[in-house]
Amino acid sequence: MTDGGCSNRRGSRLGPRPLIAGQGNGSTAPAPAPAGAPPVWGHISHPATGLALPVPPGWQAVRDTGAALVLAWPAGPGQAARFRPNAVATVERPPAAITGISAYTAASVVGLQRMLTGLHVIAIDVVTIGGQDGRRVLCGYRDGAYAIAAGMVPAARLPAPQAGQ
Amino acid sequence: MPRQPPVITEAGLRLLLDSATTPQAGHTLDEPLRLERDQLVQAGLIGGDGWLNPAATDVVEAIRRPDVQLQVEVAAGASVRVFKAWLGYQRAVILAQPSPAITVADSPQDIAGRTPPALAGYQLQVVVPGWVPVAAARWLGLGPRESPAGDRRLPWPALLRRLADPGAPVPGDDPVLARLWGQPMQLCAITVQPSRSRTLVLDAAGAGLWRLATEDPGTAVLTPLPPHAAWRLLLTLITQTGRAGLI
Repeated sequence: MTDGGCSNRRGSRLGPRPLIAGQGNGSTAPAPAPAGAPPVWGHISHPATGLALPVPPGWQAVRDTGAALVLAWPAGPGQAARFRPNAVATVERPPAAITGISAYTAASVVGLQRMLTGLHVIAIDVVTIGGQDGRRVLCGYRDGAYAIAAGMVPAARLPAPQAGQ
Repeated sequence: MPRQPPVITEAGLRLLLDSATTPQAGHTLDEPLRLERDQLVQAGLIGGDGWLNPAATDVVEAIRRPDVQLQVEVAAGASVRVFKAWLGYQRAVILAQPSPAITVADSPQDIAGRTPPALAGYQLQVVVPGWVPVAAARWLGLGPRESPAGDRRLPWPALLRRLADPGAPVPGDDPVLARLWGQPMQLCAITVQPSRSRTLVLDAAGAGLWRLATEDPGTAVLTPLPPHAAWRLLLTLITQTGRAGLI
């Protein structure tokens, strides 16, 4: 299952470390847009897991322990110490006891409630991501001096249907 | 053990503001207000000498000259519960009465029969401005729930009758309205200053949240408001009004 979030629960409080393009975690980084060209979405992949993500214009791929891919809003001049909106994508095989995306989402929320201060879940919506069944979990929590709105988007790669199904 | 937030009244809030210019000595106050003063002293907002703690100057400043002021009132039965927040650039102050969030244990009769709280007290919290929308969402009970589709139009008097009486008849034969009528129901008014925008939301528990508007005199229009849209609405109302330090 993949878990795409907008979070700073990994890495430093102020955001993850920059990744040197194409190094460090086996990912391939998006090509920079030519000078003067209109902003376009890029694409980044993580060959070890097969995960691929679109990259919003201007966002940077960064490195963070335990995550397959991390994207971050670029830090502007003099903004190194500010929070950077970011998206963290992890890939994992859930325990056998967790079957289905609803159970996985519920277990993830319970885990987040243990980890994060003042977590409040606002919405859990059914979504389809790249043809996979998923959920969009919107929540808010505190992290030091920051109040953070985070979206967690678990999606399941379902087994191929058996013949006759 | 974390310290409990102070619970104060409007008089306690005035006392806090006045402590910036005049010391608020405990022996000059009547018993209920003296107890509120003691809580403000224990919270570190007022010093033992009755003067505003210098470290709390920006708390008073946020209340006196907020970038944004948010007020949420929730009406059910004879009760109106209020959440107020003043957002400054770095600090925000929240005064909140007990949460009106509808729980699974609440019946339509429980909510329609709600009575005013015995004490007009507000829990006081000093937070970062970005926490106010989350605190308001939690207070309102904004969380995952059914998201119905399609606007509904109905006579305002029928809706007002239902809010007061769960036994009021359903207008027409719309199954969505029939389901809505069978749920606990309360009315929320969200007001934001300085824009003076006022938004009405119907909280129908398991039948979802609905934004309320008047189309022509006497007709209420209910527009489905999924939880993520309600969150977006809260953020939009706050950020379009001022430059509060929301990230």
